[in-house]
Amino acid sequence: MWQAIAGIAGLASSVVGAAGQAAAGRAAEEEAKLTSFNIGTEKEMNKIQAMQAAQARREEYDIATSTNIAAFAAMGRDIGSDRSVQAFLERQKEILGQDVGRIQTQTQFENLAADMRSNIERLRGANERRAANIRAAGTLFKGVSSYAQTKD
Amino acid sequence: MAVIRQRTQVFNRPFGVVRGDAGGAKIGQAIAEVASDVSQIAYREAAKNAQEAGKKAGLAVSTTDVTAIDPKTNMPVAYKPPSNFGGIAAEAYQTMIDRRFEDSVLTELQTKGSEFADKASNSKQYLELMTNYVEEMYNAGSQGAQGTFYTRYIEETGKAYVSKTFAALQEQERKAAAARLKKQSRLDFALKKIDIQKRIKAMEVSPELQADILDLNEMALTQYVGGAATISEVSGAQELSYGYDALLGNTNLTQIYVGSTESEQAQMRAALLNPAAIDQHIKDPKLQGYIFQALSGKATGKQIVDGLDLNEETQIQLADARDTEFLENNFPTPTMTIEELNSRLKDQSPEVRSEFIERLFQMKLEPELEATNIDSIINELSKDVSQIDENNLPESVRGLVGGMNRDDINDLVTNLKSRNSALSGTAAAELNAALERTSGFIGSMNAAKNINDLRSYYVDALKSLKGITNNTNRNSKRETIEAKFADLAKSLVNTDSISLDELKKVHRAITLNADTFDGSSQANAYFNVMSKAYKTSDASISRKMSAIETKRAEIIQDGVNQTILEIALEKQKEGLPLGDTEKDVVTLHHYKGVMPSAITLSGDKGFLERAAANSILPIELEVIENGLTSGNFKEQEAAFRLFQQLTNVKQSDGSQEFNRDFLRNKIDKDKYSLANAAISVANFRSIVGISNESPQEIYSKMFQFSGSIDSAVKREIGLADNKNLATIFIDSDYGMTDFDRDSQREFLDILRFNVASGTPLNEKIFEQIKDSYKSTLVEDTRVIGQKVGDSTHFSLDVAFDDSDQAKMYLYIAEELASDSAYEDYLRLTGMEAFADVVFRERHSEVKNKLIRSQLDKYIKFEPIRDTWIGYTGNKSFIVKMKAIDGGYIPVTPNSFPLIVMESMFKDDPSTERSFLSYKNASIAANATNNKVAIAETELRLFLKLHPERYPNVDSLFEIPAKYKIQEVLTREQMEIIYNEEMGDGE
Repeated sequence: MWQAIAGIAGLASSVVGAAGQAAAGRAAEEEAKLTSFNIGTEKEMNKIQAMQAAQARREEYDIATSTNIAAFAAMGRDIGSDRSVQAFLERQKEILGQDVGRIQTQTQFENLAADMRSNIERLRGANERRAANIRAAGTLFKGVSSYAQTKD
Repeated sequence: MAVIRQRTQVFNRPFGVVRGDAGGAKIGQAIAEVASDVSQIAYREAAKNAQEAGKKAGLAVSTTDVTAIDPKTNMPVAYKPPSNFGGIAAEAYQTMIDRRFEDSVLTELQTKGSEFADKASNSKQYLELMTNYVEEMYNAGSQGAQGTFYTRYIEETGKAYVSKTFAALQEQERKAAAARLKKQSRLDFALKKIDIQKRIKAMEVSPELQADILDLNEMALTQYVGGAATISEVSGAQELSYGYDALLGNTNLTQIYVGSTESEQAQMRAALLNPAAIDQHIKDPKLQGYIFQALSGKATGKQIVDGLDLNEETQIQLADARDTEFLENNFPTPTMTIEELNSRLKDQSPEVRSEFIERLFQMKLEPELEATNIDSIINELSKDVSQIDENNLPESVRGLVGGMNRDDINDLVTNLKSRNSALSGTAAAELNAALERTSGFIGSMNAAKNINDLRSYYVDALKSLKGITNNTNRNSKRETIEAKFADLAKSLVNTDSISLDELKKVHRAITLNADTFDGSSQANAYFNVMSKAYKTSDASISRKMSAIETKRAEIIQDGVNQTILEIALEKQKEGLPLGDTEKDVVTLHHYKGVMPSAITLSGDKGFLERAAANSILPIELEVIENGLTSGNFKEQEAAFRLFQQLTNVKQSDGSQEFNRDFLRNKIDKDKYSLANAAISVANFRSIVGISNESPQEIYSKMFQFSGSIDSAVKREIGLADNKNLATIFIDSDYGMTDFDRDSQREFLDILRFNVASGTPLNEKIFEQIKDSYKSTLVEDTRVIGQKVGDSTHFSLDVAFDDSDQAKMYLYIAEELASDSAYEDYLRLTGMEAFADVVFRERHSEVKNKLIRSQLDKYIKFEPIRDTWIGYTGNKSFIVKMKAIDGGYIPVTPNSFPLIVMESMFKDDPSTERSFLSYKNASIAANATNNKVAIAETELRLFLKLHPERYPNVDSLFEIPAKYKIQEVLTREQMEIIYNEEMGDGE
């Protein structure tokens, strides 16, 4: 009688154990999804930061250009016809363009990396769940096997 | 204003390679783990199947192949496993073969042992038969080859079995012989008495000699019958009386003897007892001649009685002796018929006849005795014998009155009258109810159809006797029950219930040595028992039939023994003393003929429980006694452990506890005294640090001493041999009149050990031992108490450095300094200088120096053993720790500190077990702290308990608040608090 009760108790605990393992797998997957979502959020934040950086760079250029035009004027240079002044201003504009371009490129690649990390995280979560399910199946198998050995 | 030049501000940074664990490996790992588990399960199943197969194959082999040894391999024929078996199956198979082989050998030995025990006329013949048989088994097994495990198993198991059973048979024979000798000795004594009386009357010898001879004989007989003398002591007394007898055989010798001095008479008696050594006692050739002449004329008592013309008085004495013997050895049974009675009493005197019939009458009357008919029976029996109408008596006793004389009928009437007065009111009703209950069980015995049922009702009937308050009724009922059981048991194994035709078939089957018989259940049972007896007996038919009768008697006896055992075990459980027969049966039950060892007994909880109930068996006493002198160290150690336990058993009569000694007067007196002395000396030597020899080592030295140790001690210290050693504690010259009883005993044991170990004991050494011993005693009981505080003293040394100790002593000394009695004491004991310093000079430097060097020799603290200080938050208390076995856990310097116990109370108060296990684990780690805690506790408690002497104790040391003693509780209060803290406390 007691052996039978003990055997059933053993089987029940293995079922509970397997359920626990499967639940742990699901939890791992949920956690990975959350991490992936957080990475997505990080990417959006990154974009905003890049826009802000580009905007700031532009404002700095605008202020500097206004100042430079005033300075050239004060120096008596003809802003409209003086080729060297024109070349200088073009050069300044080019530098600004380069900086803004680099900001965009950096953001683009960082976003790409974030996408990759997000995908990998999703995949890891799914795999954690699969591994947990496999272990749960093994636990169930062992439980059933042990019960079969101990029952009358 | 300077021109602002744009500088490149933004540079691309490495955004890093994205590496990630997608968890693929985990899937693989999980698959691998599960696969491994599955593989293990599959292997386990396969191994189990293989084992089962091996076992089954091992069981299927025939017994012949298991027991027959193959001469080529020296192993059983069946030992080689089937070729298709793997390692596991083969191992299981061979294990099974081994087990079956061992079982077969043992079964064969037991079967043959039982057969030879029936067949052999004595234990020696049994030993010879069994030894030969074992040798045959061994030879058949080995077939000349070298010994293997199997042949060795036969040899060793066989020898062990023969040795065990032989010892048991020998013991049975010894007891039977002792019983025969006892019976014979009584008759010898009666005859001897008559003989000596006759001879004394015929000769003129001094009244003193007459008295000597008669007293000697009478005393020995009385002691023997009363159980106070042993067979050997009685034999000695007999020899001595024969010496007197021979003395009387020669007139000249008698006259010389009467006129001799006491020492000359002793020499003459010695010569008479041992004529071969006559030259050592008697030098005079003429006197030697008289002695030889006297001895040659000596005859046995029986011959003398037969040859004498006895006078009337002697004849009466002899007839009385014969009558007594008959009545002591013959008893009526309730079912006895008048014909059986007459046959049994045919050669007996009228007095015996009357007495015997009276017993039978009472026995038959008992079951029919009621409160309502007792008066009419008394009335009838009170008439003249010729007037008694037996039709007015119960049917079962009719026909008996005529065989009794008036005196015996009067005895019956007296007995019935006393019963009648007891049979009144409630008592009568209760007694009647008890008698009816017993009668009911007797009725059930009558209805029993088999021996087991009969035995069960028999036990119930005997148990029901407890309810019968009247002794006569109870004894009579017991006799009825026992006689009924014997008769019914006999009838259950006889052939009455088998039809004549079937009985013929059974007998035919038995004489044809058939293995089975197919018939009615009674016939089958009869066949099973009797055919075995028939087969194992000698060849002749008469002997075979006799074997059947013997077997039938054995079956009855087995039933009786089993019943005695059940009752004896119940009595043991209730702590009631056992009779000799009960002890024998219980011994057989417990040890099955094999003598236990002291080691076995000391580990046997059942034995110790029985010992505490004072139910020690004779065989167990023998084991302890022999164990004390065993050459085996462990055996001796166990015997001493048992000795110490059983000589000091704590018991309670409900109101007070006391110690009982279960071994005194039960084991050899000398061994008992020596063992006690050895324990005492070993304890003493250990305490004073001389050595750590165990009691058994001390005992061995003392046991080897040749002669009387006490005489040697007296000789060495100059005390006359005829004086008691205890004189030294009475005579003030020895200076030991203040020794209490325990100290006296211990001191004498030390002297005995000194002599026994070969150390000289002259006056000087005696004084040294005395001084040394006295130094361990307390000098001043007024100050300290009666015992040395060993643990406290030791703890103080460990716990406090010199300055702390000096501070304590100083405090006490200052308190004592105001005690004039203490000053007197110091002066009386030769400590004037010290007293002057303490009481007069008050010079602190000198005083401290003296205190450090001297005072610790005089001040010792009473140990407050078994005591803890506990703390419940706002109140301190003292706790006596109760152990699982009901005693108290001793608190020693090795116990764990207070703080640990306190936390245990708080954190885990549920069980004592966790408490004890924690204690054990803590001992080593906390040893030093423990000693400190104990020392502090004991010292403070001691001081606190004597507030009249030490009023400032709390301010002396900075005692943590929680350890301050705020209230000293009584023992009962302690136990209440303890129980509250520890659950139910039991």
